[in-house]
Amino acid sequence: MTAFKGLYIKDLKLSFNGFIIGLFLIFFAMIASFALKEYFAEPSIPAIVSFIIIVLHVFYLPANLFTSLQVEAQSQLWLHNPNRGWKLFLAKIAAGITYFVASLLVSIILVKVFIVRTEYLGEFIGLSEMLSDHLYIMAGGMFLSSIYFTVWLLFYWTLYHALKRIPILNQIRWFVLLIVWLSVTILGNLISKIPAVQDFKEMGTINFHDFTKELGENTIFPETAELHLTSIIISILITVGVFLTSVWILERKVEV
Amino acid sequence: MEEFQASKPIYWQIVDRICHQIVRGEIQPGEKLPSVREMAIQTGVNPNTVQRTYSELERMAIVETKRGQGTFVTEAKDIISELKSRLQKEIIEVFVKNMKELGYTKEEMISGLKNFEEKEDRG
Amino acid sequence: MISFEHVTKKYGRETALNDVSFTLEKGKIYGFLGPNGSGKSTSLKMMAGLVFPSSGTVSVNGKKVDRKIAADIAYLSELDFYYSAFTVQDMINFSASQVSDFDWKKAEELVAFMQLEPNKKLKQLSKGNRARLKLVVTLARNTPILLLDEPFSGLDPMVRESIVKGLLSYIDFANQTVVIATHEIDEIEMLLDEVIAIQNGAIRAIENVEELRETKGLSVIEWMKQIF
Repeated sequence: MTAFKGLYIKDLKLSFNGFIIGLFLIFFAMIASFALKEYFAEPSIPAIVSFIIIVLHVFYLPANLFTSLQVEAQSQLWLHNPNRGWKLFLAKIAAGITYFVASLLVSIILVKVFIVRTEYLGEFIGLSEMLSDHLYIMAGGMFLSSIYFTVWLLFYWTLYHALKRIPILNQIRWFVLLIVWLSVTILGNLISKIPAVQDFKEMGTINFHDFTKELGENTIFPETAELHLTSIIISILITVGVFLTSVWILERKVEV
Repeated sequence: MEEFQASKPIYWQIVDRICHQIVRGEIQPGEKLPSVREMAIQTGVNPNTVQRTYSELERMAIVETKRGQGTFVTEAKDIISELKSRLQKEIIEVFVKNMKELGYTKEEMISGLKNFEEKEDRG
Repeated sequence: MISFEHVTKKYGRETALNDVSFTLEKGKIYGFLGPNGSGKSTSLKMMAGLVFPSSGTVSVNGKKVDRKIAADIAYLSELDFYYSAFTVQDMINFSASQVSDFDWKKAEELVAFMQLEPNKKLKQLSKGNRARLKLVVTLARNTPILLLDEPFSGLDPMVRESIVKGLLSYIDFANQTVVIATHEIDEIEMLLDEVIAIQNGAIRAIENVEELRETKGLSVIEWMKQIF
C-alpha cells in the first residue's frame, strides 16, 4: 500500500461517521419536507427543501475536513510521519471529496426521483428549471467553490494551530484569525478595484445570454450568465497559493 | 526479572551468579549458556551488559564461545575446581574478616565452626 | 549521532530548555530522567522534529532536524491518542504504509507477543493494550533511532513488564540508538547504558550506569536521589 493510499483510507475512516450522519440528515429533511407539504398544503416545500439541501453541500467539504482535522488536532501526532505535508492534506481533501461527491449524488438522485419526476416541482419557475435542467451545472459550481473554501479553511486551521506556540497570541487566537481574515478580505477588495486588474479580469469573459433568457425573469443566479475565464485562473492560483502556504505553516510552525 | 545490588556493576553480579551456578552444579561443564538475547530477557538486563558478562567469563576461561554455536561452559576440570576454591576462599575471607572485627581469635573461630556443624548435623 | 548545541526552548516567559548541549552516541540505550516538567518530553520531541528550538541546533547524523527526520526516527508518544475507528490491524496497516522500514514479520511477532487481537477496535482495548500496540508499531520499524516518551506512565505492572520484555526482545542493540524519557526508573534501570539527569530545563549530569556502580557504588535510583 502506498503512503497516500494509507492516509486516504485512514481519513475515510476518520470521517465515516460524519458521512453517515450527513446522509441521515438528508433523508430526514426530505421526509420532513413531504410531511410539511401535507401539513401546510404547500406543494412547493419539497422542491425548496431539496434546493436547500443541494446548496448546503457547498459547506460539505469544509465541514468534513474540519472534523477530520480536529481529530488530528487532539495530539498533532499525525505530524510524526516522513511524508510531506501536502500529502497529509491532499489525502484528507481526497477523502472529503469522496464523501462530498457521494452525498451530492445521493441528493441529486433523490431530487430526480422524488421531486422532478413528480408533480411537486412547485410554482417558482426558476427553482423548478434549476432542479430539472441545470442541476449538474449547479453541482459542479458548488464543487469548485467548495474546494476554494476548503483550502481557506486549511489555511486558517493551520494558522490557528501554529499560533499555539506563541503564548502571547495563544489566548487571542480567534481574534488574530479575524484580523488576518479582515486583512485578506480588504486587501483582496482593494486589489480587485484597481482598474488594471478589472480590465485584466474582463479579458476572458464568456457570455451565456441564451442561458439567461432561457431562465426567464425569475432567475436565481443571473450572475452565472457571465463566466470570467481570468477570474477562474486567478481563483485557481489563489487556491494553489493558499494550499502551499498552509503546507508550509504545517511543516515549519505547527508543533506537537 | 531479577534483583540486583546497587553497589556492584550488574555485569559483575551476573558473572558471580553464573559462577555460583556452575559450582553448585546447576550448570554442567560443557553446557550451553543461553544466547545474549535470551539471557537479557531472562534477567531483564540490557544485552550490552550481558555481552560484557560473557566476555568477562571468557576472559576468566570459564566459558568458551564457539563460532556460530554459542557460549559453552568449559569442560576443563582444573578451571572449575579452581573456581570452586576461589569462591570458597572469598567466603572464608569475608567470614574471617567479620569475626576478627568482632574480636574472635583463630581458635575460637574454628571451635565455633565445629560446634555449628555438629548442631547442624543433629538437626 | 544526536546532538544538541546550545538549545533553548521558550514558551513565552517559560523556559522549557535552557542552553542545553549534549551528544548521544550510536547503539546505546539512554535514559532521560527527571521529574515531570523537567524538559524530557520537549527534548524528545525536538529530536523527532515535532518541536522546534527557539535558539540553538538539534541535529541527527550532522543534519539539522526537521519534520523529515521521521524517516529515521520512530517516536512513541506519551499520549494515549488513537483513531477510534481503527482496529489493531488497521493501525498496523496504516503505520506500515507510511514508512519504508516497516518490518511485517516483526510486527506479527510483536502482536502475538503482546497478545493483541488484530480485529479488536482500539476504543475497546484497555489503556494498557493500547500502550502495547503503540510499542508494537514503534518497534516494528527498523529505524536507527527509537524515542520512547514515558512508555510506562499510568500502566499496571503486568503491562510494564511486557513492555520491558518487548524492548529487550526486539531492540536491535548493535544498531539502534534508544532514548527513553521517564520519571519511573525502577522498570528500566537494568536496561540502560547511560543516564541523563535533567531538571528545570538543564542537564544536571550524564553518567554510564555500570560506571556509577563501579566507581561510586550507586544504583541509578540512589544517584538520582543525590542529584535532585
